[in-house]
Amino acid sequence: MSFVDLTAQVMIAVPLAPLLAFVVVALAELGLPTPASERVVARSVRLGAAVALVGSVWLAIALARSPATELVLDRSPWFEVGHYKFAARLTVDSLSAIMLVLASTLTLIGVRFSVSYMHRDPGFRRFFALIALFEAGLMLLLEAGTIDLLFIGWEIVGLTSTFLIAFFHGRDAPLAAGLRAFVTYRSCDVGLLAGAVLLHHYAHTSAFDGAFGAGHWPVGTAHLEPHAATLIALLFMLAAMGKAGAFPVGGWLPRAMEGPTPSSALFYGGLSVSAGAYLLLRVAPLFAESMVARVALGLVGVATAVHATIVGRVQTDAKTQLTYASATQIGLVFVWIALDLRWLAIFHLFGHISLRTFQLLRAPAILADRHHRLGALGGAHVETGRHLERMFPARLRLRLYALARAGFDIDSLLDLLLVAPLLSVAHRAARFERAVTAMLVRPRTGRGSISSSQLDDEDLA
Amino acid sequence: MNYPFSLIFIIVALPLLGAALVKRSSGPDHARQIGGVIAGAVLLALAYVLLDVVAQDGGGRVEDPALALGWFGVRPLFGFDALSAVLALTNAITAFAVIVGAPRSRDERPRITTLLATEGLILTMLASLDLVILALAFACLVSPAGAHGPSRREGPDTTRLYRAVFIAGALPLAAAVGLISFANLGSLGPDVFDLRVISMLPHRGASVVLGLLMLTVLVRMALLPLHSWLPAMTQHGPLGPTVLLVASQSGAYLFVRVAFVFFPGDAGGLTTWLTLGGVASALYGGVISLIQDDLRRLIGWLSVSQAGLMIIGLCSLESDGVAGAVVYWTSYGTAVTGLALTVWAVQARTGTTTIAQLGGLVESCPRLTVAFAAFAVASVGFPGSLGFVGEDLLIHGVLDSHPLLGVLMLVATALNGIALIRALFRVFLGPVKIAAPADLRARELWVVAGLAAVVFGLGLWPRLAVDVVGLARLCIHV
Repeated sequence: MSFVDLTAQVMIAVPLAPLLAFVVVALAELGLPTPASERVVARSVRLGAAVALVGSVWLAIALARSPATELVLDRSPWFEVGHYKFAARLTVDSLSAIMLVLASTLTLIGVRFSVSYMHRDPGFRRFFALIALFEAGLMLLLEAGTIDLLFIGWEIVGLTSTFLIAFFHGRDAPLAAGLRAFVTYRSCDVGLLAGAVLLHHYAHTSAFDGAFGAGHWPVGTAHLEPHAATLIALLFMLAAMGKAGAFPVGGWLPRAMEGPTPSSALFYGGLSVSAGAYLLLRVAPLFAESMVARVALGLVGVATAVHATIVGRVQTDAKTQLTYASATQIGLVFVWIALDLRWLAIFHLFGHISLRTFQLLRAPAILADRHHRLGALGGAHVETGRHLERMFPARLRLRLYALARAGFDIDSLLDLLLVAPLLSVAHRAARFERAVTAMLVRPRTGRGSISSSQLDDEDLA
Repeated sequence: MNYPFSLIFIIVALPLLGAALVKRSSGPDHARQIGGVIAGAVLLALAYVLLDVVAQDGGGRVEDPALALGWFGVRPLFGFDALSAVLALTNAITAFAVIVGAPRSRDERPRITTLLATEGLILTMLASLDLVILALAFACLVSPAGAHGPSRREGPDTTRLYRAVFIAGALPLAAAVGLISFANLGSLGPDVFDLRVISMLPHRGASVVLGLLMLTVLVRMALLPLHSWLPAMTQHGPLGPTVLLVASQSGAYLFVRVAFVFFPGDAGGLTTWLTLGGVASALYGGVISLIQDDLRRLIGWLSVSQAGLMIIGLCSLESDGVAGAVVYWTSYGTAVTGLALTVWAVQARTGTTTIAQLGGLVESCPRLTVAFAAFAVASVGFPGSLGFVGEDLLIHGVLDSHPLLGVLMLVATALNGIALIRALFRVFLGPVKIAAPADLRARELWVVAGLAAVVFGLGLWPRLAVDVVGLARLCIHV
């Protein structure tokens, strides 16, 4: 097998290995009479993550050695009808190579960390299955050579994220947090799918190197009509805002801390929220073509950074504080992309993801760390920070504190403006429909809507 | 290609014969055996027919031998092309799954009889090459369920509901067929009812016929404003036959088989009105499903929404839009059957489908939870399922030509997804409110796993399904 063929196989193996780990764990959980042991589950997922890491490093080296600017594996079409083809095209360029190595490294670390952290948790197998599926989705997202394939990875990441936020499902709060995240994802993903179809329509291809063909990342340019570039860029921005927890739709992000710490670290400390920034970097040539989109993205980035840094400063628990710190940095990355500083954005993203994941993984031991630090300093605590607060007069500082505690009521405002009217319409419609049903279906006295014969299930007797 | 004997007639008649046998069976076990064997045999036979259809160059038609019909000439009455063969196979899968995989009751002879009779009528409608037989089968589709269930002793009285659906679907169609015959009898002669040649002959249509057909399609597809019967039927009617009706999408079939034939092109402007009805249904169903408090009613509203999406694709008149609609047709039919089976299992175990009374079922039914989650994501077109392929084609077809419609479709699918995940969280997760005595039994598990294998297997390797649907698309005279 030649080096090129081997590299092609590695490109397939990177998302496939964690996917297989997911399938193995899921089938073992559902199909075996006795559940698989923690050791077997952890080893399966670790093996999948390790293969993904080795493969990612291989691809990075192969790209560095290759005279080409990208590695491409095209098994098109996945399916086709008439003139429409769904391209199955994987691409590794400098952007995806960096992100692949980083993401697979951090996932493997997160998986190893979770083996001890989740030990004897009743949801141990479910957790590892979801982490494996998440990694498969993320690897596909990063390797995707077309916007359609990226969408598939994007959706998998979103769904696993939802289930991991709602992981401790015995309580209501994680469920509400998970549902909020899903609603945000699903609403904003309309932008990604609409943008994908419009990109296909205007550029006559969904492949990134076809759509931004005049040079490869980071120097690609999109040859689209200005209005088309603006529209598509704004749609992608909407999708990125949802996934990254950007202002004003980031209310799900602090709530997402209801999930287990390792998944919080992987998802909201770094990798999942960075998928939004990755999408924007991937389609950065579109923003370069449209001043309107750049200004909009810059404003969103600044608003996210300012809002998150203020709100984050008044949080009382470490994980939430770190989440807001994460949102602050993502906001800044948005600004770099708006300014078309693509390499700065990716360096910033790399550093931010690494640091934040580490901080979140250490969050459960924050008190022990603090004692160690104080001990090392001889017991003296050096008070630092509060520079931003000092810029405001005392009275305003108090008011700002109250506002920040409430997150500036952005969620309430969104609920009031978007959710409440929608639900009001739904309730009115439901009342009308109940009245129509009452005309068609008449209740019998003392009988419910359920046929009692259906309750005499012989299997259950 | 003509079969040497009336194979298609036998396939179509088998479920009807089975229904008669089940009615006279000695007990529930015997009834189940007859139901399972008949449904399985029909499924295998239709798979064979589909292979036959696909094997022909370009996906031709297979027909029964011709019959002497007096003045109406000598012609076959039953046959399958790629479209009807695909839909018939999907329906056979649905019927088999519901007959074998549904929770059992002490005497389920009425249930199995109803299911087999409904399946027989659907297959008759799909296989018919004659306009009158098609119309008769179409009109009678709700009759078995209306006559048998839910049990006349228990549950609310749904007589008025079934009567209304029957009349609203049958009367306008009967009038339309009558007018078509009257207007074309002179010019077409004996071919007036022959669906094979009628599209190739010059014939006359009238706006009255168009209006009647539109009314029939709106009613049977449960499109706004004639939609309210479907959520009521899924909640209060027998779930099995209702699922068969939803999966068959008889209204859509009538639209492509009759409306497109008599009014080629944009079906005399019908597509515009149906598109509007489709958009309104997709959004209305999506919004109202957000607050549903009953799992069965939720399935009804999702079906209203999905029917809206499908008709938009069919009316887009774009190759990928129409193909997407047909893929959606088959994938949603299969996914909603799985969803309905899981809801049925919940009802059998807890005695309720009211969401507020349920919660934490995952503790006692982990397999049921996974099954519900899998079919929920499949029915809204999550990647990896066949629904994703259908949704992708559908949205490409529509968004290309009508960007605003495409965006509204995306909003509708987002709402449907949110409604289903909300239901999943509230019924299966959260604090335990009610405990189920058992998880999915082996029999139920095998059926559910089989349906999941179809939906996700074809979702991961869609080329086979899309190639067959590509042939089916060519059977629609757009």
